[in-house]
Amino acid sequence: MQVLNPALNFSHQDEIFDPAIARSLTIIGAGSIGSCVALVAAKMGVSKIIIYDEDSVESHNIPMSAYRICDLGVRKVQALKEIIKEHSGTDIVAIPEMYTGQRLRDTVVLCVDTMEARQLVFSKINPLVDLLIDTRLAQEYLSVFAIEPTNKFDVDFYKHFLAYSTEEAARIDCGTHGIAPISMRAASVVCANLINFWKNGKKEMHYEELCIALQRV
Amino acid sequence: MKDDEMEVTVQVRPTQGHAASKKVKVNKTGASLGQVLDEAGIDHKRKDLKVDGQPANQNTHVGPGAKITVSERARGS
Repeated sequence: MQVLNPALNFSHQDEIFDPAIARSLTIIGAGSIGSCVALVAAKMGVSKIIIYDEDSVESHNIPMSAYRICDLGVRKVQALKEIIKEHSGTDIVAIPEMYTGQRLRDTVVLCVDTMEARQLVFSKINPLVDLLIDTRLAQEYLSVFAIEPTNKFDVDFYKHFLAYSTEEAARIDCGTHGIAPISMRAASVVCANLINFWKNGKKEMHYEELCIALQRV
Repeated sequence: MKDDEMEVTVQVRPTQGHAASKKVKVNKTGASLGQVLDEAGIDHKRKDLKVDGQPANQNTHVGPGAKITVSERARGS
């Protein structure tokens, strides 16, 4: 299918966010949260999005993510590239591989599901990274860290919540993984942090919410 | 409350529903976070702990009026 690439009209967000101030965004993991973050970021005008994931779309991925039924069996990042092009005209850089330590820069969003993957990414954070956002879900509970790697207070705070294995974290049982409003809420929180940080240098270091109860905790 | 007691607030954040808060009375002297939570009957193994918004562990000293949070260690995506 030929996808048109019109320049999006951002007049409705003129006073909220100017896409010209967006930096490059690397998303590690294209699951439920990662796919929604990529889509929302592209729609708000982020033009350079790099996304890593080696998996393909399976039927259980579709309800919580940006994927379509026609994406079944397709590599997640390839499907996402097409979806985002269609929705926003933006060409993302789709890397159909697991992140294994490639050089990172600018803003990085972690959308992975193991603590070990989080620890690997954190070990690769370098002075070129201005903001690291780590998203975590458990059933209805959402936790989002936004850390400036050059800020010792941020880093010490974050390390405390990074220092355990997947085995020591909450179990995700069948039927308790999450639901679409929560992954979309996570994407919304991530993108709000991006707007605030790119615009004013501010972010919420640790945001927690019980999303179905609509209770900020 | 007795003279040798103090009160702290513990908020438990589950993965479902609402967070629940309770006031807990503990001895004023030598209260570690682990002791406070044990006395309150709150499971704190494999949980993320904070005292007054700052990262904490079972050995963190807890003072009067402290606000403690006990959260599940979410890790999904």
